[in-house]
Amino acid sequence: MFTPTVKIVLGAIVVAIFVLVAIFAPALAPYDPLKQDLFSRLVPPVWDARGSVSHILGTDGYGRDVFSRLIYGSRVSILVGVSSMLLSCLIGTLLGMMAGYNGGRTEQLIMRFADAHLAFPEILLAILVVAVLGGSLINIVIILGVSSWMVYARVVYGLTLSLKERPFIEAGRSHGASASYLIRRHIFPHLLPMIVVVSTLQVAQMILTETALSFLGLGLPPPTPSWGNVLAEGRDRLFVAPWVANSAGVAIILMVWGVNTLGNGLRERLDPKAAGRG
Amino acid sequence: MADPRPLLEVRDLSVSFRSGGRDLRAVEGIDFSLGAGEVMGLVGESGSGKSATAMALLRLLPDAATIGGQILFEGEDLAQVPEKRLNEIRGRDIAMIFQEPMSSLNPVMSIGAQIMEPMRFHLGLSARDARLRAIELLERVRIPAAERRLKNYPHELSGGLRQRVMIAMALSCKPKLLLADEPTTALDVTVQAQILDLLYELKEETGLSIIIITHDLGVVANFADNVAVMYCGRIAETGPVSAFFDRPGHPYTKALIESIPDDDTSGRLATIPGTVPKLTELPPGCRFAPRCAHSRPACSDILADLYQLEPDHRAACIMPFDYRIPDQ
Repeated sequence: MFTPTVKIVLGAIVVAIFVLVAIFAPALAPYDPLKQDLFSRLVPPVWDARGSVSHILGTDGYGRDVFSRLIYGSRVSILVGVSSMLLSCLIGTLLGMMAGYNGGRTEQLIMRFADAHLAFPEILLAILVVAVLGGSLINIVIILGVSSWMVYARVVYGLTLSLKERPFIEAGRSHGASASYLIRRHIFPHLLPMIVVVSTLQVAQMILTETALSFLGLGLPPPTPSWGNVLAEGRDRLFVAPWVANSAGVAIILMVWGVNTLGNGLRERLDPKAAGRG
Repeated sequence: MADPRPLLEVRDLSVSFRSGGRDLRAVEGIDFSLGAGEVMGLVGESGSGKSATAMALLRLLPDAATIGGQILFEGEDLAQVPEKRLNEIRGRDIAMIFQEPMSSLNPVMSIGAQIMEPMRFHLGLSARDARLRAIELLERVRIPAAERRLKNYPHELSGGLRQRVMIAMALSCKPKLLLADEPTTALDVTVQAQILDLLYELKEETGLSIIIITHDLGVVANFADNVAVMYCGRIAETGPVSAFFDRPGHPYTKALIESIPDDDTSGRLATIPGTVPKLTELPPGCRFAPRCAHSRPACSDILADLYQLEPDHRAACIMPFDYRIPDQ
């Protein structure tokens, strides 16, 4: 539909807007996202006949400004998305390279464990851990990070396996390079483009999972303005005040669309053969 | 200057690959030795085990391979030393160059960074010293504008230049032994000659020992002191180049020499009928017997060891040409 360049530009613009919003949240948000104002509960958004300009996207059941909550919510989403992506990237890439380069028993151990882990639904595991440990920001990041390392491990493993057979690795060994040196200097740089692509797509996935957890009441504790929380609060009054849940939904869709479009564009640009593949 | 102990002594070297539940012997019972400053040509058809032999010397074979026998390099058995010690020897004492200069260089790393690698592993040079030495090495392998070339990536160089870069890398730590695995096979004929000349000059300058693996007898004739011909993982004949070409003992050697095109363009080129048997389908007895013009019934019964024909000249045939085998 779009060329890779258009996708990259579009995706990057959307992502950049969200990142800027997150950074400058205190300057952009018209209200304190936690401040309740029981006299202006459930004010409809500005385009509604009963709406008011003072609350562009209306207010929720406690009179909190939805727009401000979403602005602050972008911080949570981006923070959780990026840090859990980094964690899973670190674990998955290391294990994937080890499995691919060493082969044999290491490979069997790591990759069979990855298969088993992959068979286990991520959200179920997350629910289980949050239920036991509680839902703090750190916990969520760790759970999301740990539960998706397999995505990296499998991609990195496959690539490492084929890179290992390339003659320059053999040549490197013939010069006396150690395994860890070869992995760091000769294999890792070849993995980078693919890791960047997977990471971008993973951020979107992480944001969605965090939202889902918050929506289920297993994410960050309620007053925290996360998109999942706003969505969950809106659910209770979906017929009375649909704007609360709708606004959160639109924010999530836009962000995930932006990140995914960027990721897909990058993938098609870096690996033209992958274009058109799911 | 003569050191009585050879630089490299290989005793009863064997290489087997584990495949589909059984062991395939790619190389067996290889013995040879190489003195300082000597050049040995290891010749054979594809699949004769010549590359596996070279790779085995530095234990660069895949994990599925097992190595037997002894590889004594300056008295140290490389078949037994731990991997860590081997990493010290690889690139410093024994260096290797490969057939494909394109794929043997990392495409996403500048050649300067790659040339400096072995020096930084083994000599502990600073980045600045390594760079100066890299320029010196590139000049030594006759690469023009060496300093500018450091920033180039492999795809910016021609095949001949890439092989020169590989040679520069191999020589960077002043090795005592160079394993050259078909160094000219992937190159144009004119470039082949240049690379061989370069290797010869470098050998003369540095007193390096070289094992050159090739299927080109012409390379061996011009370049090597000694030759070993391999067939199906075993040495068929070994000896000094002169004896080898003038008085071949093994029918395989003779057939190989006869199949070199000469100036006489009339008549058909002599060929060896048949193909090299697969490792899974080795004939009983002498492995060359089914293709041998001189085979006799006994050849299918006896897998001959190397018999001494002359001092240093041995062949694994029960009926070597022009030689009488003393009763054992």
